[in-house]
Order: sequence, then C-alpha cells, then structure tokens
Amino acid sequence: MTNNSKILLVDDEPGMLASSKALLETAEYEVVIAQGGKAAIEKLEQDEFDLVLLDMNMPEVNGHMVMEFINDKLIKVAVVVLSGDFDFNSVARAF
Amino acid sequence: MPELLLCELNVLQGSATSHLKDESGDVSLEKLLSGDMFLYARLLSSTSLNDERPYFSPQQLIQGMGRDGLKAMVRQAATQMSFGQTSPSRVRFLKQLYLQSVLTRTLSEQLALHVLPESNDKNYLIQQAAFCGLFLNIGALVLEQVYSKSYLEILAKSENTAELLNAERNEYGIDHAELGAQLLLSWGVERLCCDALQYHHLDISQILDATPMVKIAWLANQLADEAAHLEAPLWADALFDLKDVSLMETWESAQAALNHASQTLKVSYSTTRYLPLPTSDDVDVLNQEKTALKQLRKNAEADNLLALAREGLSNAGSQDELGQAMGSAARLLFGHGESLLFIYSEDADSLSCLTGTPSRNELNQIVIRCEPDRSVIADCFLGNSAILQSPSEQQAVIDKQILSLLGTDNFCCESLVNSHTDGPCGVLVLGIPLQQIDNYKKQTSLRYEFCLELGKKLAGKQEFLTAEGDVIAGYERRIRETIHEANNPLGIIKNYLQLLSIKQGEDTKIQSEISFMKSEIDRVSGILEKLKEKPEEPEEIEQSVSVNINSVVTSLLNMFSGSFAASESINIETSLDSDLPELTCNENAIRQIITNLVKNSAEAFEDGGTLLVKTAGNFYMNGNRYIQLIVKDNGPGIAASILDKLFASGDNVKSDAGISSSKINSSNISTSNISTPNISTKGGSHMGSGLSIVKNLVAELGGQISCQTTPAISTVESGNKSRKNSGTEITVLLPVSVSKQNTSLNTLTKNNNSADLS
Repeated sequence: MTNNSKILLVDDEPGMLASSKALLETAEYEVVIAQGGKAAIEKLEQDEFDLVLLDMNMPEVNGHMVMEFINDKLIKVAVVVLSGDFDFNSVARAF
Repeated sequence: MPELLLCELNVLQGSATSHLKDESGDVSLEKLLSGDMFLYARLLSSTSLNDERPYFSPQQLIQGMGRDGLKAMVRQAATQMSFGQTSPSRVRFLKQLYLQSVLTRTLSEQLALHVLPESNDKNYLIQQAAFCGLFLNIGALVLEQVYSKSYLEILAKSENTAELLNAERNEYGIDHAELGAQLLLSWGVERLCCDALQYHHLDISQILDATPMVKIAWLANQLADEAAHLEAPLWADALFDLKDVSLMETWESAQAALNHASQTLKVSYSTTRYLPLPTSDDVDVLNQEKTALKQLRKNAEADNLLALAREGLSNAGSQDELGQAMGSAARLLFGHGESLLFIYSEDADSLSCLTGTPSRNELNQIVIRCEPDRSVIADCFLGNSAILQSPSEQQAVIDKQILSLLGTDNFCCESLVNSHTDGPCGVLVLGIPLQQIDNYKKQTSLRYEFCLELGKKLAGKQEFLTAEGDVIAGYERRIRETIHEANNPLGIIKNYLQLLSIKQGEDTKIQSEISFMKSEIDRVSGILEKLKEKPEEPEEIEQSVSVNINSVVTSLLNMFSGSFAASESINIETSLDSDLPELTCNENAIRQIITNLVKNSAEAFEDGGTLLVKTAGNFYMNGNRYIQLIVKDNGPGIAASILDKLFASGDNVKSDAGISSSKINSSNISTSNISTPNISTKGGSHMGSGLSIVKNLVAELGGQISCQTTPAISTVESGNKSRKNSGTEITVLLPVSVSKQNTSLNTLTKNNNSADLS
C-alpha cells in the first residue's frame, strides 16, 4: 500500500476519529471518517477504499454488521478490526 | 355454566376468541365478568368492599383480587362443575336465569342512560343500575342452589310471578326478591340499591314515587318479558315520561346483548322464563351440556396441570433443577418421553442443551450454533416458529443424533420468547412417539402456554443468576463497557502524543518524556483490563523479569524531577547501593511501589522539602536476603491518630500539620503493631489509596513494609508548626529470592520505632 492509499476510518467516538485521522494524515494517507456503522456502510456504497479501520464495539450498527455488509457485497477491501474483545467467539464472528 | 367458565378460562389464559376482545383488541375480562352474575357473585362474596373497590366496578374488583386470584377462583369453579351432576331442568333454569340477567342488566343500563338527568353522578348511577339489573333475580339462584329439586318443582308449577312469589314465601319463608336484596346487603351494597331488587315484582302503583333505581329495575324486569311489551310504553310514560322512541332504542340494545349471550350458550331465551322446555328438547340440552362439560373438564385439567408446571418451574433455583422441573412438567402436560431445553447464549450465539432427565446428562454437551440450515433447532430459533421434525436422509447429523438420543420417531421444536425482552431466548424440544402424533396436533395451545411459562422462567433466571453472583453477567457487562469507555480517551491521548512526537522532531529529551507518557497510558490500560478478571479466577501471573531497582528509581526520579518536584520546590536526593542485587519479579509492580511512595511523600509537603530515596542490598532476616527501599521525607510527618489507619483502603486520611499540632514527640509515636497498614500521608485533597496499593504489591512480592514518623510540633508563640526534625520514613523490604513469604513481624528488629505494616 502506497502512502496515497485511501483509508476508511470507522469509530463511534468523534475524538478517536479526529486524532486517528490527524495521525494517519501525517503519513500522507487519504483518510475518510465514518462515525458509526451506518455511516460506514454509506461510505462503502459510495466509494472505494484500500483499507477499512473498523471499530467493532459501536451502538446500533456495530462492526460485525459492517463486516457482514462487506462480505455480502463482496467488496474487495482490506479490513483491520479494532476491538477490545479478545474472546474467541467475538474474534471468530469478525471473519 | 361450563360455556361461561370456558370463556373465562380462555380469557385468563390469554387465548380468548375474538368476540371477547374490546375495541382496542385487548381481551376484556371486565366486560366478561360484568355480564356473568355467577362469577361476579363469587367475586363479591370473597372480596371486602369499600369506597375504593365499589361493588359495581368489576375492573377495580379484579385489581383488588389480582388476575391470579381470579384465575384460581375460575379454576376452582370449573373443577367443581366438571365433576358435578346435572339435570336437564337445572341446566335450563341456569341458562334462562343467566340470559335473563344479561337482559335485565342491559335494559337497566339503557334505561338509566335515558331517564336519569344529567349530573356529575350520572355515570356512577348508570353503573349502579347495570349492577342491579344483573343481580335482579339472584334470589332465585340462591333458592335453587339451596333447595335444588324442590325449587325447580315450584318453578314448574307456578303459572305466573305472583304464584311463584307466594309459593316461595310459603315454602321457604322468603321470596327470591327479598332474598336477593338481603344477599346484596350482606355484601355491603347500599340499601337503596338493594331496594331495587326487593321491590321489582310489586304493582306499579306502589312504586310511582320510589327512588329512580327502584323504578328502573322494575321497568327493566317488565321489559324482559315479551308478554308485557304492549303495556310497557304506558308504564314507561307513567314512571319516567319516556317516549316510545327511546324505549325502542333501549329494547334493541338489550336484544343485541341477549343475542350475543344466546350464541355463547347456544340456547335461545324463553320469554316464558321459568317454565320447563318441551321434553323433546331435553336430550339436545343434555347432549349440549355434556359436550361443553367435557371441554371444560379438559381445559380445567390442562389449566391445573399448567399451574403445577408453573409451580415446579418457579421453585427451580439452579440450572439442573430447571432442567428437571422442565422435564417433569413436560411429562405431566404432554405425556411424552424425553424433553430438552436449549438455552440461547448471546455471547456465544449458540444454543446449549439442558436435559429434563437427570440420568441423561450426556445431552448437556450439545451446543448448536445459531446459523440457518445447521440444525432444525437453530432454524426454529431463528425463524421463531414451531417445527415438527421427522427422520429423513437429508437432516443434519445433530438432528439425527437428537432423535436417536430422545428415542422417539419425531421431535417438535417450539421457540421460546423471553418475557422481559420479547426476544427469542431458547427452544423447547419434545420427543414424540409416532402414536402420539395426533395428540401432538391437539396440544398446540397447551404447548404455547407452557412455552410462555418457560420464557418467563428464563427471563427470571438471568436476574436470579445475576443476583446470586453465579454469573454476574450484568456486572461483568458493565465493567466491560466502562473499560471500553475509559480506553477511548486514553487512545485519543496516545494518538495526540504520537502526533506531538512527530511534530517535535528529534529532541531526545522531549521524545523520552512523550515515550514515558505513552508507557504510563499503557499501564493505566493494563490496570483497567485487570478489572475484567473474575474474582474466582486465579490472577494472571505477570511476567517476571530481571529488575534492577536502582535503574527503575533513576528513571522514575528523572521524570519526577522535571514535573511536580520542580514546580513544588521539592529536592529529590538518592542514595543507591551500587551492589544491589537484581530481583526477578514484575517490573510494573516495582514501578508502581516507587511511584506511589514518592508521590505520597511529595504531596505531603506544604511548602517544599527534601525527599530521599535510598536502596540497600545487605539486609538479612531469618537467613534471607532482602533489598531495602527507603523513601524518606522531612515533611510534616504523620500524627498518631491517623497512623493506626495508615494503608486503610481509600481512607481520606493524610499527614496534616493541624492534626500533628497535638504535642507528640518522636519518642511516643512509635507504633509497633499496626496490623492493618493503610493510609495516605498526603494533603487535604487526596484519597489515600496509594499506600494500600503499595502494601498489597509488597505482599504479593513476599515483602514487608514499615513506617517510621515524627510529626511536626506546633509552637505556642506563633501557632505555626515547627517542622524541625519532623518527617516520615517508609521502608520496604523485598526478598531477593522473590516468593511469597510469611516472615514473623517481630523479627523485624532494625528499629524499635518502626511501624509494622505488613
């Protein structure tokens, strides 16, 4: 992935979105932010990304649902899952 | 009557037919009750009336008794009736009396609506009139219940009402009108209302000036008799000046109510009320009665069994007991063999099996993932539907295994709904032998009721387990959520630190400080993560590494010197033993011990001071070598009054010059037996949990901690405290070979004034 790659950053926490975006931009990535799963799905429908940084624990439409959407629509994108849950079932559901 | 009790049982079980539902679609038990004089009378007999629960408001009476109480009453009546004997004339009498009560009730209500003047009390009076109409002839019911055959004979012989009343008075000393009034009076119904019953058979000339309720009840009784219809308008006019039109409206609405009741009872209302029906009808009447009784018996039995099942389920405390109660209840209700309960686990998104038979515990190993087409049980859960499963080649192996384990030809699955959340919570599986298939099809509503009970139990089970701490599911969830919430701002801070680090370039000192901040944030995250550990789980053994305490002290003090020490004029000195052996232990624990001790001392200073951190590696006790870590300050010291609380978890107690103004000198503050170390020695705003953490960490490393202090003394002249020679010295002993040790406290003899805090 080159440094002009496009990243979709998904989190429900605005502070996390802003700080992570600023940080990623220092490395010259193009960063699109989506606050929550619903916004993420909208962005994925409209645009193409090289990478999705996806928080799993979000209210309403969570990261698992976004993953289901990506898998169902056969969207070709690398996804890095960000989660505090380390139990097996939670991890298994993310794939 | 069986037909009525069937309706009431159905309503109470929540499976009433549509004609019993009110406009909002809810089943109206009140509506049903207010038209059934038999059940209403039972209810009134067992309820104490007062202003808050007036006799004419079924709704409030039901509230007073509770739905369960009412249900028990209906169940009892149904059971009694299903085993009672009956005769055609009795059945006919009861049905006619019931229909008549429906008719007079509606007529009285409608008449009251038309004749009573508008007032604030009008609704109350209309309800009262309806009540009087319903119970107008309850006296006849009482006589029939008491004298049965003889009363039915009197009824058959009487040509008209006057003859009947005379015969009643001659035979029983009271007629049914007066008896009805007496009964209502005994229930606490007001006198004027009872009068309506007592005088409803008098001649019109005797009631012309009576109270409206008496006149309404009288006219309603006349209108109920078709033979009186020709004269009715004249009477209505004489009593109320009522026009023909409104009388017709009254009659029509009463007729509609009567038709509805006739359909329920499957019998038409006889205008010649008390006379026997033609003999040819008797066979039909009895057959009809037998069919209704049979159905009632069946429903009453099922209802009683459900009550037993409910009791068994509610007594189940543990998971095993729940399985057994479910198994017993299923056998009781459905008569089949095995039953299984699959309980949904949201975390695992799977269904775990719980067997109803204690000897079949191997079934408890079955866990089915909630995904389509994996098992008919998962499909049942996902589709929230009932499924009857028969053997087939295509079925999943787990389904074949379940059939084989159940030992039946078929099994059915019923999804269960959590009564609190309305979400699916499990699946009931019943093994069904081939010969029971027909029976299975007839038991749909019973299975539905049983599943409702299981859904209630499973909803309650979660609460129970949470309350008992078996799972502490709710508590753990809250902790996970809190940790997640707390980690968010920490992550944001780390991100900005990283940004800062990038912007600052290669300034080594700044980079080192930023790096330190990031590692401290990681430490907070680690501390938060430890909250997730369950109390019963052994604490995760932190990775032990070789630790040079001098290096840790140097690194930490470098940071402190540039932060609070500089801003608060605190001079930090060190005296580090260069021959200090290394410890094999958790470095984070050492860092936390030193940090807490240094910060604790530093925060006790009011206007700066000197802090000494000393290490020594040549301390021996009971043949074991220890490293000494001493943190000494020349602050205000710790007063004796709080010294004995030192290291108490979370106490807001700290060293304070004000407290130490009591004249205590260093020789009499020595404390040799502080068995519960704990307390902060800080200024006013700090919660003193730091030292209790240090104490726990030291204990974890097999070490000991002690405190030696000299409080500041206040001088009389100035009122200020003298800090000359005051201060605190905390000594930590860490075994070089770290293992949990239980060294006797009295062997710690280095200093007689040391406070033993281990």
